[in-house]
Amino acid sequence: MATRAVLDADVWVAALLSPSGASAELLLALEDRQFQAVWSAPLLREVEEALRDPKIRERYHVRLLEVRLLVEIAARYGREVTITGRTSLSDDPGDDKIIETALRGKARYLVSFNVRHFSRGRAASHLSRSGVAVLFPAQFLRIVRPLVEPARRRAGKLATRLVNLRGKGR
Amino acid sequence: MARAAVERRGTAAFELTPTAVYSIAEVQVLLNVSRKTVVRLIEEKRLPASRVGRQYRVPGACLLEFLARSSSDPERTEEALLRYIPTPAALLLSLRQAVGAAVPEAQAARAARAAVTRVRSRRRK
Repeated sequence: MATRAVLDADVWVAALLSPSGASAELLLALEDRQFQAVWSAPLLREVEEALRDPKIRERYHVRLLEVRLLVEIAARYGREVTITGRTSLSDDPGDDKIIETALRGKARYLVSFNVRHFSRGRAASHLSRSGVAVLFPAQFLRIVRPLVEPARRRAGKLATRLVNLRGKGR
Repeated sequence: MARAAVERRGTAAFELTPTAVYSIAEVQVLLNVSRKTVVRLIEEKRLPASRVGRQYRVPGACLLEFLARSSSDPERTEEALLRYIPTPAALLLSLRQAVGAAVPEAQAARAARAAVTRVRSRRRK
């Protein structure tokens, strides 16, 4: 069984904004089924809303097609869990949703850029008791990296082809 | 000519793949329209195409986008088309790299965090 991990909303969003970063490589690892992303409907809604945010869409030229592709990736390679929204372990109800998703989905890792929020107080003790490690995307990538390389090469080749095509078209 | 283009590719392999590139004759078959219509769509910039020498080449991803955009129900058409993409993550990242809108991960992380915070505070209100 593949390792289960919850990717926080900021990781999904950053993957799209920085296609050569660690978060993006995690999407390729997910596609290669090196791990299973556990998600819940409120978490994915948050990702969609953040990407539809006018500031993000205008500044980073995010297209609707790309948002749909991201949702398709989660739906196809991830595992949906239903959460109640009644968990209250941190100061931020948004973080509580991520924690509940991790606990209900029996995830081994919680991947976020906001590690600090999950590493203090009741949230930290609850997560550690349940065996959930909180990591930055780059740290989690190091765990799955040996298996990511083929996917990375594949994406690189594809990108070069598309960029060349665009170049020739101009 | 269009039929010959399809035969060259072989029937089994000839399907709309987002990562492949297609000639005018092939687009003609895929869209089931005349050559004149394909050229008009390209010249009116409704269908993005690259010029390789004197020939046009249309990326599969652009064809998919065009089909979704021209549909009477774009959202549902796009959703249906997305299900046939074999590697959505590789395609998504390639599209983003091709757009040239990529930023370093540290900057992306800050922007992502800020956007998520805005969403959460909107919800609290």
